[in-house]
Amino acid sequence: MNCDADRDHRVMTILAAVLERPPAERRIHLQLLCHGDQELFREVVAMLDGEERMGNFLRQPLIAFRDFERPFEPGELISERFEIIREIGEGGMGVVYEAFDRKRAQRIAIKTAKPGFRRLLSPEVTSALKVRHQNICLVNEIHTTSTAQGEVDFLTMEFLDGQTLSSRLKTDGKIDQQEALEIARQLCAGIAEAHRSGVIHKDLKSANILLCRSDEGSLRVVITDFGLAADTALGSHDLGGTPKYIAPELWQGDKPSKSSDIYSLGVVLYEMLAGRPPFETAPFETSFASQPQPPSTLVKGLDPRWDRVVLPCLSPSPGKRPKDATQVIAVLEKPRFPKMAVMLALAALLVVAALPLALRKPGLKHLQSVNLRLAILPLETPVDLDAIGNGVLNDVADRLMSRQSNDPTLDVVSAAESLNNNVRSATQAKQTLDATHVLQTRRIQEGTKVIVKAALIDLRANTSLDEISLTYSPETISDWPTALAGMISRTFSLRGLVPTEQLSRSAIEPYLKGMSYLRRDQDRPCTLVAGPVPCFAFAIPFFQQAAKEDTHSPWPRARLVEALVQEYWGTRESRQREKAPPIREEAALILEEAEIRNKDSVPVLLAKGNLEFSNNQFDAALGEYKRVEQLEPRNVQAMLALAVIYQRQGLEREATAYYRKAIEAEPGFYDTYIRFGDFFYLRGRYSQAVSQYSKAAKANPNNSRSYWYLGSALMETAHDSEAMIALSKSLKLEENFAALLTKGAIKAYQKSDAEAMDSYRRALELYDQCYICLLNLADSSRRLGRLREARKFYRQGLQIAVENLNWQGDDDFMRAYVGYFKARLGNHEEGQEYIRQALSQARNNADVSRCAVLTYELLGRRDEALKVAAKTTPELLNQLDRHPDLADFRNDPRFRELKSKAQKGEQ
Amino acid sequence: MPAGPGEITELLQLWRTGNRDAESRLFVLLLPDLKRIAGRCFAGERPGHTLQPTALVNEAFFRLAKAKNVAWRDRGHFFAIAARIMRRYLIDHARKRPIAQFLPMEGLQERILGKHDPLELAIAIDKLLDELAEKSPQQRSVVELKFFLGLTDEEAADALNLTLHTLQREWYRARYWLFDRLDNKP
Repeated sequence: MNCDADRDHRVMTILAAVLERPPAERRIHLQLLCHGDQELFREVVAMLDGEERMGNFLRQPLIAFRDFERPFEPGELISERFEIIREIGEGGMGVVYEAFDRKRAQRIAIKTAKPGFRRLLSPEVTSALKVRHQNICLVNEIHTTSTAQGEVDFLTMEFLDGQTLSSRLKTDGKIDQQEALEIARQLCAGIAEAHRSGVIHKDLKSANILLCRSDEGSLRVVITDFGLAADTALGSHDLGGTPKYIAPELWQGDKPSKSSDIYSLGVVLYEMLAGRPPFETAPFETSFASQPQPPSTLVKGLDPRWDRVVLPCLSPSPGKRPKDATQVIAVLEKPRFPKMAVMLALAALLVVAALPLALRKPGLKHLQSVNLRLAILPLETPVDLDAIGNGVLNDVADRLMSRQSNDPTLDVVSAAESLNNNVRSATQAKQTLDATHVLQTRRIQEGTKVIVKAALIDLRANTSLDEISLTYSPETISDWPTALAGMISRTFSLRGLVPTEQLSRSAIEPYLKGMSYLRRDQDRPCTLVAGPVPCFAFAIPFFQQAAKEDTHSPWPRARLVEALVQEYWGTRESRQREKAPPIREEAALILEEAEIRNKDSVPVLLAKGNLEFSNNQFDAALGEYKRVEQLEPRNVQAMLALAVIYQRQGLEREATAYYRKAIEAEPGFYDTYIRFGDFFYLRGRYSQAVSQYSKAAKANPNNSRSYWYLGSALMETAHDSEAMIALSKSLKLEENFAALLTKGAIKAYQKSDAEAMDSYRRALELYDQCYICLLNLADSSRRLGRLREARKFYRQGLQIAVENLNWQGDDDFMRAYVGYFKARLGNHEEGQEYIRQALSQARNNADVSRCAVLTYELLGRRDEALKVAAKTTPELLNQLDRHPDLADFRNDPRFRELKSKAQKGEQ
Repeated sequence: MPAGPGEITELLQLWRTGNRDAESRLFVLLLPDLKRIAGRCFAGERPGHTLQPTALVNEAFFRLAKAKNVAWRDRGHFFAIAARIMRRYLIDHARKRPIAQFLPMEGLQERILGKHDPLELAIAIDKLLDELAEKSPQQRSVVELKFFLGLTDEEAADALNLTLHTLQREWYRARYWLFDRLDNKP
């Protein structure tokens, strides 16, 4: 044992010393330390390698992980009365929610006791809840409800719109003495009142102090959790509080008292003034001996009387602290001025109060940099009486102001402030508040339904920027502040999400399943076998289920729209075209449903862009995706969509940049490589396409699509045998028409038309709408001299291509195919016209160029054919050079010249 | 039923001799307190302040030991059984937890792509611990104390009556064994 311990000691000491060195020096250093003891060296080297391999594995204890459980979820109805709207925080005792009390028709806050904290609400606590004071959070009732995790106690209390003092201190550092005095005054008033009723707070700290605005717009300081400090772990002797605020005598086993509350108050005041706690060291060791530095020595210009306020509270001996909270700031309250001056000061205060927009909390700093000001007008009908409605409007303002951002472009005046300044109309807002924009909202009750009509108006141009009319059922009524905030943040392109969105627990699983289909992560069922059936069919039911599980979140609905748009694209190539318009309509309706929840939500924007794109509204779609990029700069879906739009608009450099960004953001996502590969493929840059497609196949080796694409691109670079290998892999994964088609094409290039035809026929059996299969079949039969058969295939192919063209309208390459079919069927004039149109519309589409060359050559227009060829890529020239129908063409000296030029250019 | 004076000390001594009934009884006696301690660790202020829980646990344990009249010399066993109970409790919780509750879009891809979260890891570790115990019961205790309870090296060494360096080496061996087992799994 001793021997082992010695060995452990040696090994671990050396290991620790070696680990302090930079990695490159470790081995040399280790050799020095081992003094030639090879066994020791080997042992330590093995551990060194092990440590490097394991990194932080198991280094963080499990007990440090949080968020094990949530008692309620948004959307849940508790005790058939309280509707959970959102989670707003988490405290020592449990989770805090914003909720709607149906019985009282009020917004309230609900504070739950976490499981394990049950039965904390002792009779003593109950009496604490009865304290009623302006500066103490009003608690209504204690309830118990049963959840999946067992019984949960919760308190319902007044909903407070505000910021905790601790978060204010986190952003602002400290608070200037004037405001600090007002806060201190109100804190003392609240504490004094509770103490008079015999209630001790036990856990006073800056996180339990809320800075709100009263109905009149002035500062209201509210202490929360009075008397609720959990008698947590070990009965009455345990410390319920938060270490740095705990009075020293409690560490020695004393019970919490008024005096220990005063100590905590001292810590809060100190923090507020100095921006740091009075004692920096760990709570167990401090407070007894050391004296905190007087705040006035830390803060320039601080009234030295503050020292006499704060330091006595922090005295280690309870007897030396102020006896009563009202005494704490007495020294600051003593009038310094004769009575007359006080009167004057009061008058000055009144003047300030009468000023419109009495400089609100974010302060001058904020107002100066603002160039837009949005006034949220109170609800139009019935004015003032609609307390909930106006409360919700205030909530909208708060959400907008509290978003995490530093763009000071927009100042928001809440409905309460508008009301305070007697502003009820757009004109008044312009005159009194100097507003540039207003939000006008009407709420109409129709039975159980509520209709909210809102308009966002630019007062400078007198135009309406956005209008919404939203119908809510009792289940969704709590969603309208989110919707209004979303409308505003979208219109002004505000940074930072408003608000953070959640998906309820039960909706997560179906949502994620749907997502994996939508992203085509699971390719097996999304098959190529019978035409390009995308994954929508599998995704749709999952999103429908998720939407049912979570009625509040816009996400499942937005994703459902995406899946429907995919379904819509699917109908373009199948016989089910009559289904297309209803699918689009359905998608549009569901998008509306998503938008009434939050139109500035990322999935909603993506869905909208998708739908617009499918409707050829490219600029509009671009706007949605750009907005997503602003909200989530690393959103791969938006990057890919932007790339595709730019590609369509012929902005190749922009498109390429977005593809590269998408790859960088998520290098393992195979679909990006496929799309980037397509980008090159369509432009006749086949070897670049090969490189992207091989990455796709590597990223997702179980996907038949990647191998098909790879095979096609390899064929176009004349790597026929490699192409065949890739296609066989694709076919091995599943028998699919696409790989069969390409296999046939390779045979045809190799002048084995009979073999090629077998392949095409099998492809056509799998997918009878494959017009390229028909085209290739026709070409092969023609070359084999079976002209009647060829004509039949050309006719069938033409019919499908024309249908597709009628359907798609703007698809340039389809136009080129129609032209080729027509020319082959003897309709030379029309064929030529189609080709001409396709060429004028298409930008760098290699398929169009290929069709054009073939058609012109067929019509005996060599000059035109050469003109087209001159504009294509060297790789496409190579393909034309081996095309079975272009034997004459390739012997033309002008073509040879083109080719050699291209080759030189390439080198 | 509350613990009588000295009962826990007695049970701890029985448990040391491998008495399974003693373990069950200790579990019943200590679980409520340990649950509260765990709850309190999770309930700290919002993320950002990590690892304070460890200090809290220790503080709470010493209080608990004092309150239950656990003799000073049995402190090590007390920690060991506490770690075992905590492990059971935490793992039960981890199992009950849904895969995700809060879905910022950024993290979504990771979840879809199936990266493991810490609780899934904990469940996997839990499954391997009995196998590890066959090899070395001491290493299992080290994992329980270090990973499930979050003790410092010094505290864990103290609890298991090992030298600091032996504890550290055992901790390394246990981690390595577990890492290897998880890593070699497809």
